Amino acid sequence: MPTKNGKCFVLEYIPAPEFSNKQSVLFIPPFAEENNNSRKMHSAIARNLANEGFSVFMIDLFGTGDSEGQFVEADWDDWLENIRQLFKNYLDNKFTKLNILATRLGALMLVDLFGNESLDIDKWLLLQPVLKGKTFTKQLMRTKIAAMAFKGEKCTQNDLQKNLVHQGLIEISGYQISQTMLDKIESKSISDTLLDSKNVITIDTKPKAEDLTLLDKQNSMLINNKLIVQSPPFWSMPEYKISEHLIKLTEATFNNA
Amino acid sequence: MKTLENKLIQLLSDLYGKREFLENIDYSANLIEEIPELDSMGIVSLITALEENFDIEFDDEDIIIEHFENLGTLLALVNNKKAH
Repeated sequence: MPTKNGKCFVLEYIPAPEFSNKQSVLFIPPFAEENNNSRKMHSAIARNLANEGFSVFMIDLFGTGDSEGQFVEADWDDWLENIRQLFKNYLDNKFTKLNILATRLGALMLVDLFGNESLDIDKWLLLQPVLKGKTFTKQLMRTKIAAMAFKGEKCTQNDLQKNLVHQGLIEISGYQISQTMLDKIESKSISDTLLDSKNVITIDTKPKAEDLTLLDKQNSMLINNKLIVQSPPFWSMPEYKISEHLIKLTEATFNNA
Repeated sequence: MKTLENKLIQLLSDLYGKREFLENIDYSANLIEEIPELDSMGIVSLITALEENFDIEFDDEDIIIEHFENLGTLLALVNNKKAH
């Protein structure tokens, strides 16, 4: 897909021709290494949805994956424009139902982009959404601190902030991230009002040992429009077992089951 | 009632699998070596889960490898945090 900065790679999972009901799901990816770690799980979810008749679209935002540009050149507003362009050019008015699945920081992007627009989207499925950008950047900084600890070096978030101001960027898990990007992320959040909207469903996969006693035999629990599922945090681990339950849950959500 | 140790083992198991290893773990077994997922991102996931499950908060100074090396050091860290 051509964009103002360069081409973005878009992958479409096409359903079998016997499915006449044209439904689609657009995936909005998480950030940096979390995106990398999530690819296996996302592919499994996408393949299953395509088998169930959905056209699934995945985009590598500018500077990520197979798209043009370097990660350090990536800009929050350009990423939102990438998603908007994909939506307008390839999805809007072409399907009877359009759904969105957004993982982690992807949810924050989705809300920032479409949160105040009345679009004809059937369901927003937020997979372990980042609710506060500030919490997310804190986790990024902690990841850097932990990486330095593995090298026997000590530092604090204050030290990292000072370096960031001086250099304008920081390397975390192999990704050069600009201060502009971090500032943008930090300024974003998702409101409770939006999470309470009837077409917004949240899947929370945090392993809360105490809560698991409340889970039903399907290993999931629905509180209002929030599903709590027992699953490891697949976005933070390079190797994990595919959660079949999560795959079926996403299918059921988009099928209104 | 579950002990802190049981809860910690359950949490590690939920996060990283390795159920058999963790159920038979001794206090000095090296978690970093046995659980490849316990890298920098894995440690941050663990910290986040510990904060949510045990109502504690970690400081930057707590993020040193020695604290995550084995169950004994991890238990000591959580106990220390709960005491303050």
